[in-house]
Amino acid sequence: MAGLSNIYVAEALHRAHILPTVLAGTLVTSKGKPRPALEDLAGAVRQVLADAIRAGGSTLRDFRNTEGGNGYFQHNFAVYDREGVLCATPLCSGTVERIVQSGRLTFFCLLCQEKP
Amino acid sequence: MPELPEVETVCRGLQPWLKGTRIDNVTLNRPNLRFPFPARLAADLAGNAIISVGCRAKYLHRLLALCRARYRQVAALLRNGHAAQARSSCHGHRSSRPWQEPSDLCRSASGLSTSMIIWPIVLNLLELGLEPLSNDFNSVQIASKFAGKKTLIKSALLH
Repeated sequence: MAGLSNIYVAEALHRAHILPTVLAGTLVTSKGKPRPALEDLAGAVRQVLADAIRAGGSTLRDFRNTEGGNGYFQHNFAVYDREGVLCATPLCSGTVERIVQSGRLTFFCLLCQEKP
Repeated sequence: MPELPEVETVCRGLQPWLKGTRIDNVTLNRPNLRFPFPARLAADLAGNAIISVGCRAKYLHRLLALCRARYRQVAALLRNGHAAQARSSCHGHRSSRPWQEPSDLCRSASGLSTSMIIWPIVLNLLELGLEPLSNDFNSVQIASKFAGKKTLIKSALLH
């Protein structure tokens, strides 16, 4: 996918309730059709990006927009950089966990993010 | 590093200031930035108008109208995406005169100064993969990319 970063992938997987440890191919049927989880993921990716654009992006360090102002999407992170915090999913009692995948931090909720 | 939403934000901010402006002349201070500059690039760019400002993934591009060829000036916002100073540099010039040269943007925006890349349009930005904000981005298209993949879902989404 073009332009997706660690932050937005973590947030989209959380919204779609998919564990970041599943294999990509398991979201596709043997006939090459998308499983329901993949339908959810496609929608979640678009939704996360639309929300982030509406918030003017994320300012974690020094990103500034053309007016010199900050982005504000970092205040809406559900899992990214929120290790140990209660999961934001309604009725979920899990906490945000952190692992390292391919040398990069991954944040997720073990309770509400599942294998498809 | 600014990613798609940040680049889209910068793009929307720059659009009213860049679109329709004209490049009077171009000075290349080195032969390449990541890739060698095309021959006659400076001459080809001079005198042309910026007809659109857009994004492809995390790349900001300006589409230039050219007689013999078309180039996209691609700015990879590699550092912090600063463009506030770029706007101020053209503030007040928009209606009275066009920018003197595109490097006004390079010089004044520290975040862009080392990352301005000019690629010929033959460098196909479509090769960057599925554009998440395009109409082509849907579960069927993603399934065709993911089928049989044994890589982690996160890695598959990042590439």
